[in-house]
Amino acid sequence: MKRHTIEDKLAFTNWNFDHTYPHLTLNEKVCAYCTHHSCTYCCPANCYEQLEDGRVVLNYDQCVECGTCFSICDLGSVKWNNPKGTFGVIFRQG
Amino acid sequence: MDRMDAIIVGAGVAGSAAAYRLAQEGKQILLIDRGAPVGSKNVSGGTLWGTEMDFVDGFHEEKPYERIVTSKRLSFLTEESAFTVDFATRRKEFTEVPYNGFTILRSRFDEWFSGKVEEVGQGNAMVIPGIMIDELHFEGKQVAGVVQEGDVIPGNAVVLADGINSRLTVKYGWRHGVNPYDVGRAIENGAVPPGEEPQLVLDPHHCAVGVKEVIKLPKDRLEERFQINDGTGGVAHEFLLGFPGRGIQAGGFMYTNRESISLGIVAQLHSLKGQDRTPGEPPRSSHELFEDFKHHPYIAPYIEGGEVQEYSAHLIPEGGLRMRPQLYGDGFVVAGDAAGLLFSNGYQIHGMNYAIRSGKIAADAVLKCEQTGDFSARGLSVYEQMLEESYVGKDLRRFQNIGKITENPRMFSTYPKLIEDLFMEILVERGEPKDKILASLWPGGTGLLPTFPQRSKFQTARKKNKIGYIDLLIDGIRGARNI
Repeated sequence: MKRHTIEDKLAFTNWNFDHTYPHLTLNEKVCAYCTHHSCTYCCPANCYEQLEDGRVVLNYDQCVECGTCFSICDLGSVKWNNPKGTFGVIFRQG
Repeated sequence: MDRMDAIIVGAGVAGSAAAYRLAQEGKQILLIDRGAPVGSKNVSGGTLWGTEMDFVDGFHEEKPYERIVTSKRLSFLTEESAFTVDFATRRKEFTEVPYNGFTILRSRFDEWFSGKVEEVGQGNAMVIPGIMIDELHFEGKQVAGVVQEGDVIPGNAVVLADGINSRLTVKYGWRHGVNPYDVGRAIENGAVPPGEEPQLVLDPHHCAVGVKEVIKLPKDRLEERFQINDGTGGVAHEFLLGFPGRGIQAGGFMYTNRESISLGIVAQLHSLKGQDRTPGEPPRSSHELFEDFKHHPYIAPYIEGGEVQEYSAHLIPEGGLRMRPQLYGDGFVVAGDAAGLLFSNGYQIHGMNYAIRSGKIAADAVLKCEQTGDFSARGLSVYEQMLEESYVGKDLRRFQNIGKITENPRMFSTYPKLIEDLFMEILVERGEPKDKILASLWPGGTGLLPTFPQRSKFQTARKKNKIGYIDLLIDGIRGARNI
């Protein structure tokens, strides 16, 4: 089997996207104090990306709703809620 | 809306078990899940051990599971080697009803389970998928139902089975530890970030992240590869990973389904977050670690030619008593992952059977309170009492220090390599005279007392891995006391 990139992997999973309600948000002001940005490598769905200017941006679309970012964000920048009912990831195997 | 006897939030195995038990007694209940269909938000490794599901009529006839576990394997993996313990059996405890363990896929299993709740409830039990509950209804200080988009659904008791990420227990402060939101709010208001990390409501020291793929493989090929010859048997294979390095403490799993393999890694979050690395070296991400495991020379042949069906991830509550929230209060009880009820003793991780039992006990507690009509914290304290008397409470208490073993960095950085080197010392044929097995292991070689310089095979392996006798002794004593 070939080595999959994270983009390859996410293509195997299904979502019902909700573009009207971000269930995850970041607080840029708080992120500025962060020394590790571990969300960028701990998140299994690669939702967090550090830009060249050092800022971390978040794309919540392909979130697999595991909670890792909420657990590792010790400054409380990640606001983690469940997507609204029926939205978000849809596991068909689980 | 009519007042319900109980409302259960979350249709995982804990919630469905609680709902089923109450529905069996003819109670008016609501089982609410945010996924549609039920099960579409749920992920497990997934092996379900034990016979907890026997209380559900038709479990053995309808077979909502994938395969019956007839072989349990445990491997220590280093970059180039594997050392495996394999127990396979035809003994009736494993191969005849009620069986000892099942591999399951949660989407199918949980949808089936919630269907059984409606079936047994005969109109009194309702399952509502696709509804997210983020607010509880209070009468005074007592929880008395849930709120859904402004509408109150009243109930005598609420069973919170909303999983490890339970937003409700976090929101209402029923989890111990600091809510990171408070830290964030303070920083926003100009406070200096805390230098030392406080213990959080979902602390990375108490959680591991599981990253998983379900890989489709034709039935005959799968059975050939896993040496299954009866069509229903299956393998539960777990791994201790010695190769990720950087202080990352991770395990792996490989379970056989009917026509697929569940393959995954489980990484302790604090070790993934705080990787040891030299300046400039990029960290290893959770999904790269998973790929490293998947392409390990020992794993790759098992999945060769397979097709990935799904990629998923889930947090695992490994903190045991250290992360236990308030289990009950006025009008509510907490069950399953939401209460951190996962059992680990180092070579077994059981979550779902403990969740199911806690769900049953939650239902029993609600039924007891119904007799007196007292659903206050005083009445519902019977939940904690019954939980503590059951194997769920007793095992979590007995193995509360297992973290000393499972979170010991040497378990991952040193011991797999030590085993590899010892086998290399013993098995590599150098055309030299061989030692008897005791002499290979004992520091004294053929003599009673340790000799200097020490020359046994074990010594050579031990020295290569720079582990001292004191550390070995400490780990040995800890192991003997805690495992």
